[in-house]
Amino acid sequence: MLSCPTVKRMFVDYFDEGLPGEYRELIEEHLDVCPQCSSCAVSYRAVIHLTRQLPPMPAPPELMESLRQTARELGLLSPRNE
Amino acid sequence: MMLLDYWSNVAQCSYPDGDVAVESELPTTAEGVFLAYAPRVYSVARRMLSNDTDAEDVTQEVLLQVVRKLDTFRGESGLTTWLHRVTVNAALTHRRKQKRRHEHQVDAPLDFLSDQGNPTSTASLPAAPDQKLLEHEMREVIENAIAQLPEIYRDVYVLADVEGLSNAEIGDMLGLSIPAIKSRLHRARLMMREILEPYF
Repeated sequence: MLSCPTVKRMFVDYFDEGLPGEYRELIEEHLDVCPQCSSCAVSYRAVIHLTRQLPPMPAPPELMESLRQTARELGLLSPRNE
Repeated sequence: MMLLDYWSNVAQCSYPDGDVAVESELPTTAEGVFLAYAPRVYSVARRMLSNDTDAEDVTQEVLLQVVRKLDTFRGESGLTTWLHRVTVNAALTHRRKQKRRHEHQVDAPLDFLSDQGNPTSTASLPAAPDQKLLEHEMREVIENAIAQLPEIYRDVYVLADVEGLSNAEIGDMLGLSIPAIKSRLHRARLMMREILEPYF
């Protein structure tokens, strides 16, 4: 059976679907009998999932006006572009 | 609401990803470029730099480049990838310039001593939750946790787990090997777990 440190080191590939089936099975066997690693796996996966659900950070409203102003000064807002 | 409860809720829905523009619908005007790409560029820069003003500077620099080079992308694919690459490069360059500037400051004020780079600091964490947190507060908790990651881990984490880029793309952008990307990503996720532990 794999050791706890080995299993945790393999989390990155395990959760990114980068492990061959036989290694996945070895990890899952370990997680079935090791509460510590199993708990770690749950929160590790939750961190990944929660982060992937983050919406974009909203840009400040004044940024758009600042962009237009700079583009205007640089002559990038020509009639064709504006 | 704890993070695991929140997770089970968000798993049922999806947020808009902000990718307004795709290659087949390229904006034709500067205004169109700003509207289409500012949110995504700002978001990547803001998360990498953890600073509003720096992120605005980078967004401006990147979008003006896009406007100047828009014709290059007519009918071509790869604008989104290019945009990511330019944003990451601009953010890294901006960070290097800021560091050089700070290194030259002899009489740095005490408030210059930021908590960035210290994963155990709680300076930017919200107060411990004595009551159920609302959904947007959960997102803020996660954003604050990301901001506390040391830069070398934050960069990889943002590009991999927030932006969903492949390890190969990230390696290309940051000049790192795939094993280095995986190692940093793993460390970053473990740090995130540690920072967010009180909320699980």
